[in-house]
Amino acid sequence: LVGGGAMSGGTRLENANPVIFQRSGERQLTASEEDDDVHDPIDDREIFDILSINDPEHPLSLEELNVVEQVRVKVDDAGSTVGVEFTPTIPHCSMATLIGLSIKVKLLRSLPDRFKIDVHITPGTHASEDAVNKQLADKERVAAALENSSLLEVVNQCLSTRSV
Amino acid sequence: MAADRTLLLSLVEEFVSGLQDSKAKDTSKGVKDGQFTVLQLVEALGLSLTSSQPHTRARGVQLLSEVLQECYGDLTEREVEVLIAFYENRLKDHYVITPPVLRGLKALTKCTVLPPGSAVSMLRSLFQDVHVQSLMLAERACVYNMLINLMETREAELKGLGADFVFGFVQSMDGERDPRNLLLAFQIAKTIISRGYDLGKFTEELFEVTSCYFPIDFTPPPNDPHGITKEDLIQMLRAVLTGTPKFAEFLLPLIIEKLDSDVQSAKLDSLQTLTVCVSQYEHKDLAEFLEGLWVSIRREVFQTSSERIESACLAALTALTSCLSRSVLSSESEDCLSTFLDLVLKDCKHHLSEPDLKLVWPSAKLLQASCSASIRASHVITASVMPNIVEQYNSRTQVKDDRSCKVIAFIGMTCIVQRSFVNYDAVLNTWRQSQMVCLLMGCVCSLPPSVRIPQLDELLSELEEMSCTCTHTLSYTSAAKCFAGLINKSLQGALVLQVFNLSMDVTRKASRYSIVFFNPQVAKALLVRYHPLSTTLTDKLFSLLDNTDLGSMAADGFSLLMSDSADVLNRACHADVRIMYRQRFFSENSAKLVQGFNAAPQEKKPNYLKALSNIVNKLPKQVQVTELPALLSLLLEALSCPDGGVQLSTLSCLEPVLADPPAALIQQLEALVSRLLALTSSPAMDVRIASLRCIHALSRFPVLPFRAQVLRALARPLDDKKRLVRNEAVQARGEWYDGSC
Repeated sequence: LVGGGAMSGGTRLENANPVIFQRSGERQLTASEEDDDVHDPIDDREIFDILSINDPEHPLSLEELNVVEQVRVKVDDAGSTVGVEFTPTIPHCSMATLIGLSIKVKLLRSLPDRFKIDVHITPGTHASEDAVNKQLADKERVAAALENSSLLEVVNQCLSTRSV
Repeated sequence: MAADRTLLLSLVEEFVSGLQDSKAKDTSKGVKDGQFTVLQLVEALGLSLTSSQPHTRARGVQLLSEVLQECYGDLTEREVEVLIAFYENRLKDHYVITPPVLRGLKALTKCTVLPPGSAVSMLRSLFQDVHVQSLMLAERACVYNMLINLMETREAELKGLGADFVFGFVQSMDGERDPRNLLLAFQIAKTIISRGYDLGKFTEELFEVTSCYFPIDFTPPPNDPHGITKEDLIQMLRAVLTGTPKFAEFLLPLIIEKLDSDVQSAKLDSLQTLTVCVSQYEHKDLAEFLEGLWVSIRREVFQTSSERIESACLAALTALTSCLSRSVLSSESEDCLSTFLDLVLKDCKHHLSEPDLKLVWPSAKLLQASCSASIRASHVITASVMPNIVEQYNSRTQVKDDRSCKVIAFIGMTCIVQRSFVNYDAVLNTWRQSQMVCLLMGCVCSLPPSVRIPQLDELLSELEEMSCTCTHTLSYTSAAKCFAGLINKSLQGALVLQVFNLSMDVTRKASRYSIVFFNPQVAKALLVRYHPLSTTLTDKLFSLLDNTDLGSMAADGFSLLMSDSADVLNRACHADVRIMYRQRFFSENSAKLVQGFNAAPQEKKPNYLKALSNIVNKLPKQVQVTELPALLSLLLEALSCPDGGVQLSTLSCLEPVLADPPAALIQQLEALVSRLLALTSSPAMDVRIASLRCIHALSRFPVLPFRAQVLRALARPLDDKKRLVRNEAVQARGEWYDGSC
């Protein structure tokens, strides 16, 4: 699995400007990031890193194996919005929903309250994308997911059985 | 007395005809007892001495000589006069008689009552009538001893012989092979030179008759009863060859020739001889040979496979330079020292800039050898070399190369100790001065303790002066570190106390710099090797925590005291660093610190907290965990301290403990959590990050009552203006969410 923005089976996608994420190596620290007086805006990479925390004990880290490399992130710090598209390789829509929920939950926990978070399937990559997207936009559905940690356990298990 | 006369005659008869050697002794006794005189003996020997048989005559002379050997001290001047005339005459006799004649003459040379002119007369006869080298070993020794005796007592008279004396001696010695005789001959030659006998036109002859043995090649036979060593001969010959500048024109080419040979011992002997001779010479004696000598020395050092040869070369070079330095400059004459040093620099300097080639070290040694010969030489060399070295040092990030370290160390040290960097403004200004000390620090302090630092006292004194009075930061910090590095390794006894008293004397320093840097640095040097005096220094530092002006800086001093020293006081630099010095220090002083804190007025408490956190922070983790419970309330107090530095060091102390908090901490958990949360809003990002990490660490601990509070409180740092802070907050909050699973 090669890093970078090339999507698997990329011939289906028609996005003219794929966002490329470096998978190898950590984000390089800059001088301004260490300067107390400088404000660092939240950028796409930061969101990406939130989603791809590599902690073997952390239930969501296994996302990296399948989903996170296929994530596209757009954040607008000033406008307080973040949008995440993901392209699940797993055909079952329930799995896609669970993964989407995991992403959303993760962002809800990790971003300031002011953010409006939109998570949906990359258009044209899943048969039931409408259904999935609807669930992901459903506040109650999401709230339930936030509270129910065993849900995340399930996601974890499903992902792990599919891991390489 | 008739009876005596009869006795005498019979003794003579028994000795000469009867061949009874023991009768000589009886005869001597008779003379000593006054039974008969020596002249009576001569008379009694009349028949034997005029016999037609050479052996009989020889026997007769022998008896007389043996008696003289015993009785020479009692002779009158008249007797001596007669005897000398007799013996001189006998020298012309048959060769079989010569040995006893010489023995007799030798005895006579010891007489204190030698009439004036007899010394000359004896030698004239000797040189004229005797071919010394045809004699047997013992007889040759006899001749040499004669010369030695006469030179001792009749110097003025012998000098009256003029150059003939030297010539006669040269002829006597020429071809001598026996080591015992050679020692005698060398002794004579040495005396001729040192007592100023006129060499006339025989200077070269005298040189040649002795130098032909150079370098000495002698192996004593096994079980040698005489015990003459090769070294004895070397030393005696060397004393001759180096004894006068008149030999310079002959000796120096010889030295160069032997130095060029393949034989190690020849090289060594030459170099050692050279070192000795130039101490007597002036520059004019050396002038025409300087280049040749330099070429050979340089070659030996560049190619050396022997440490002995190398050090002999360097010693010789120093001696040469020293000799040239003694010359007085006049307007007409060339400055020979300068010319010579140009030669040395030309061949050595450029190698210093090629740090990876093997000639750096030899070049450096040569430069150092000539540098240390005299003040003049050191000025010339350092002026030429230092700018390059300093430049080179600056362009490299790390002076790892031990060799070039030593280069700089030796040249620099010579410089510093000769105070040239203080006085010689044309060479080094302040900026350069600091460069120099940095180099020095880098090098001198990485030397193993077995390396003896020359003139250590002066060096330490200079460094201490510099570290306390210099205002240029890099200079004084390097000087202090260098000082510390040196005393850590080499401090003993009285020097300890001296150094200690110096560093305790706050009044004579630019005290701010001293407290901040020098005192802790010195204390550390002593502390890490468990030296008892370190306690007094650190107590001083503790006492300053109450000081209005210096308290904060004193607290900072503890950080220095406890931290790893990357550049000087570490094992890689061969410093004497004991394991667990930090723990020891902590356990000996923590109570004191707590007491001081409790007793201190409010505005001074931060100093104590800062000191405490600086100390605890550097302890190994396991120790921190064990020690923390005792200091917990103090540390919690420290979290509320407005000083950002204190907060930070306290937080970093606490972090490892929080993963598995001790019982004491659990009781204070609420207070801790609320303080930590408060710190997540600190104006300093470091503090925010550190407190978030502590909160993260607490997440594994079941702290249900706080969960909601913490999660709410952590929402704010998620929007921190700094990404690094946000990262920590995300992780911490994530853990707190999952911890409840």
